[in-house]
Amino acid sequence: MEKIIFKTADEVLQYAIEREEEARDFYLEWAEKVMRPEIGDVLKEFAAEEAKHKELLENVRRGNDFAHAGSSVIDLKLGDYHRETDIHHELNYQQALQLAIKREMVAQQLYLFLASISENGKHRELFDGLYKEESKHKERLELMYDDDFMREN
Amino acid sequence: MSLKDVISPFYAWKKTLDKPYTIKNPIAEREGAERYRGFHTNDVEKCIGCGTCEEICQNEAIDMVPVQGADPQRGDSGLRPKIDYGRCCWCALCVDVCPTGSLGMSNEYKWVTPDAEEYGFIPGVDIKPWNGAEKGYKRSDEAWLLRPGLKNMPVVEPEERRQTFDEMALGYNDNLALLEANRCLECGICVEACPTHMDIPQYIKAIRENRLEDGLQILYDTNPFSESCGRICTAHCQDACAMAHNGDAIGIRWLKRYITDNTWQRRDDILHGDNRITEREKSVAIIGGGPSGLSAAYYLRQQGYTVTVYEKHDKAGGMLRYGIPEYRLPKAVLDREIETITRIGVQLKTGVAIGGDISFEQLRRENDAVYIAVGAQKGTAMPIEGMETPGVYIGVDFLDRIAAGERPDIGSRVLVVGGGNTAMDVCRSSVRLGAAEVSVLYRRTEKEMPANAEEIEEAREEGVRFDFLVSPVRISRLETGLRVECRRMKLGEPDASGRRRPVPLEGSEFTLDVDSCIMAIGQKVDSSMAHGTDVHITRWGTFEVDAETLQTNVPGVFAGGDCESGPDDAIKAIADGKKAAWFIAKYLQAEHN
Repeated sequence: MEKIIFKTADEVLQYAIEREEEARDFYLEWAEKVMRPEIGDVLKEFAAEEAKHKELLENVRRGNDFAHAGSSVIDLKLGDYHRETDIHHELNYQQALQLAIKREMVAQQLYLFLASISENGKHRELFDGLYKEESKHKERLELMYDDDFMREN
Repeated sequence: MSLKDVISPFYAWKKTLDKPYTIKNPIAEREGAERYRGFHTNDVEKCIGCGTCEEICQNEAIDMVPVQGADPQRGDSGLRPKIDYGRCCWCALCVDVCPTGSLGMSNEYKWVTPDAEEYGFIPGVDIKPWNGAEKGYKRSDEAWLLRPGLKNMPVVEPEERRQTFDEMALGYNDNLALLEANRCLECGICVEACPTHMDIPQYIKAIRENRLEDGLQILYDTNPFSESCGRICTAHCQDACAMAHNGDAIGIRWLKRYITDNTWQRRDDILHGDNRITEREKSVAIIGGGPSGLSAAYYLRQQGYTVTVYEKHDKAGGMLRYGIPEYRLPKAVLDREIETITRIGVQLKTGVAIGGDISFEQLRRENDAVYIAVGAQKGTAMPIEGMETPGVYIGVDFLDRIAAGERPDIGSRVLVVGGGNTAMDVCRSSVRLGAAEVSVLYRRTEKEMPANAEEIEEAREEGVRFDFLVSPVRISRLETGLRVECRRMKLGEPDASGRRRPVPLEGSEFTLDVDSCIMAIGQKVDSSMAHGTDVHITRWGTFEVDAETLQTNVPGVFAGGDCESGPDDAIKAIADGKKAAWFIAKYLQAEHN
């Protein structure tokens, strides 16, 4: 794994912003590749969400607080036990949600890890805030999955 | 002039000094007795506007009228009783018959007004001093004119029925059917609740009057699967039944079955007799031979259209055949209902998959309209480790195999995951396949289970165990059988929608060793036959339609049943089929003109 060193809080946020941009680009790219146009629309919605996350982080970079600071998150842990889902041209909605949940979990784990190894108190705070943000994103997707694919469970 | 004539004026004057026998101001000084039958009261929140009071009033003193603030809704007509005191005789029959106990009488008897029209008023709505009065005449259990208890359908005892797939419900005999039919108030509240608006009061009346052939015709006006529905319908009508407020709902489903049990042998003659169908030139293709597709076919064919149903399975029936076990719905019943439909000239082509054997576009070219009714027959899988392990089944596939005559070897210890009707069918079928221990795992509590309460109760009677707030997280193979790792749940705080979601408990992992694990957690639509066409499909795989006409974005292409709404019950699919027939016919007539 590449070594990540942050000298300033700004660098931390820039790193997170780039991750959101990467996610947005990923969804937009695959929105054009999937066979079913309605699934393309779903991926575009995910991309739009990632763009909103990016905007949120830029807002924090301008000196504001994280939007959901202090609010509690329901962790259904659905994604914790899902197998990995690879993206492919015949993706369906259930798989798209599984994929997105897993991606949020990866982001979550990344910030948790970075917080744990950070020696800078301010950076650690930022990573904690980012972890909570990703947790919120995961919660939203898991609630959607619970509503649509766990109706009889 | 007699002596009496001389004395009487003095005698009369003497009386003026005596104490009066009557009260000077009787209305203010003498209250009505505790249970005096005075002016009416009505708890308008409890009132459902069934009109039974209007029906029983011997003086026609009651009219049901619309009122502001009481909108018609499921189980409530929105009407409320208006009493005319020029006609009311204060007999209180209306109170004694009220199914909800909302109508009562105060002990107030004073009402002075120069306007005679005011004496017709709506209790509980028009503001009167006696509204909400505690005293007066209220309905008591002893005086209630209605019989609250359901005449239960005889069923095979649990110990006997768990060993066989033979039908477990035995049907009403004549006596039970008549007793149950006599409980019906004919209020009609049930009609709106039924998705296909069956004329329930009329067919129950036909039972009372021993006119079963008329009853059958009433059934078939709106539902060509009445014999099946008389066994498996979810009976929204019974949920809305006026009697259910303070007693048991009328056994509407069982009464429907009574009619079909006693007429099926003459059904075609009764319904179609010498009726000739006037042929029309247009043709309709129906994709899917389940309840929705076949219902549409039946009503379209009656209007004279050439109708061809394409079914990918070897036999028609859809989920009625492949999703509901024999002990609930014998295949012989379904077969003869389908024959009634095909005998009027509906062409049925089985073993034909649209999108495979014939393209969707070809069907469109060769027909004037198409109705898509492919249902939601694919099982949803849990994306956890071990789903492909031998011994793990998907619920609907499992039921499909049983319907095809297979008897899968599922071993002795079976775990079923899910809480809907499919899970109940699966666990009860597992019992009948000889499994000694059948357990159902459900991630939430019993209160949240979508399965019918009756099904859950019957499963328990047959020995099925239920484990709530548990979810499997991983499955692995053992030397013999499976190891299913599970986690316990708790219901978390309500989320933004108000729902309490199940949240895993830390450190609650445990394992279950079983022979088979059957996942019955939901179903989805296979709309692949329309992929690559211009028909709009939603992200959930369902077909997008106009809510009123069931037409898709493509003129002449309609869709209904589970493939439009997502998994739902058979009666809703049948209702969609009937509705689609109406709008397809309208479309074809417009095209013709």
